[in-house]
Amino acid sequence: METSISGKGRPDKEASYLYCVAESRGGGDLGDIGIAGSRVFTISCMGLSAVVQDSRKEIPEPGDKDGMKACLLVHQRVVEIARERFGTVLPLGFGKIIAGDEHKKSEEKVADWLRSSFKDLEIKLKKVEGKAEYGVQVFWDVSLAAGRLADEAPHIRTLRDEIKMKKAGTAFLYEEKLKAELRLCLEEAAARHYRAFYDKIKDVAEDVRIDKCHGTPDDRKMLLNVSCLLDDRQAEMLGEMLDDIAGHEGFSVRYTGPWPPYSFV
Amino acid sequence: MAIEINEDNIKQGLLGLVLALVEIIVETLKHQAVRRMEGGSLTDEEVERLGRTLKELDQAVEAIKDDYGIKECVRSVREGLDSSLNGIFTQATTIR
Repeated sequence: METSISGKGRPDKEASYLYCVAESRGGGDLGDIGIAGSRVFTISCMGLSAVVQDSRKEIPEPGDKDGMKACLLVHQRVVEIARERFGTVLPLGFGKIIAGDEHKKSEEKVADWLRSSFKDLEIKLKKVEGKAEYGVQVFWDVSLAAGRLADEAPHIRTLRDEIKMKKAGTAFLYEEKLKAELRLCLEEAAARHYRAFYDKIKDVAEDVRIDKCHGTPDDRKMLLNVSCLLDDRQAEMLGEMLDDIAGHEGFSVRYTGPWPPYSFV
Repeated sequence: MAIEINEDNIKQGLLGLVLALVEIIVETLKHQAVRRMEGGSLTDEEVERLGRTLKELDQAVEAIKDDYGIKECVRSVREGLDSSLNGIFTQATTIR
């Protein structure tokens, strides 16, 4: 049903750009808050409302990075406003469009989509009702951990002592061996920490999605990057648990939210 | 999206790519050397000679990176390769 802006380019025909779906019999007009100041309104069917705008002219060309970024921010703001108005919403990812054709206007097609997907949308709405998405990223100071390992692990200490007795060429190979051993120990420790933190988070959260870890500009390694679906009580519990993790030497935590539950719909 | 291309960019990029590949080869050699040293098939003198040669190779690669100011470029090529490999491994694990 959907076409993506980035995949298909600017729609030639009359089309509706979708922001989110809410359980509502229609909230009418949300005002001129859409992309390029377009009017955002609802299309309702069977007790569900799709929050949309007309998308004939306002969507930027693929490749227009600044334009896309501005639209993405508007998209997020409209979803946020819809959430304030309707309570629970199912946010749609940026760039979802339903195009009309010679037989049906896009608005009718949106209503058809709400009707045909009613069951699925209802299940998803129930799942996220009263909950929000939170981002959790745990960072690990690898240098600190490596330094500690080098001091504490007996086989690493022995290897380090042996290097001092060797000639330059042999010492170089021993250093390579030491680096490989350290890397192995760090990888094992990272896997252990990851599992421990993930299990703790999973115990608290309603649902967890694992996201890709990114590089950091400093010496810290992003050990874990997840999105969590939480109600208010769970959000508080997770916050306390993350404070505890951040209290351990060498670990830091970024906890963001609440966001509309993009990762869970 | 416009991509700025000039001769310097291309040279630096190409050199960065070459050095990244050389680094990977040197690392493989070092890995093999350590394995052979561990395996006991080399005399002490052979180990020393092999170590010295690899050390010099390592220093030469670092010196070239410094001379041409391509440290960042090499790092970024290697990160890109790592990320592609991670993607392939993840896919392979998922398929399995």
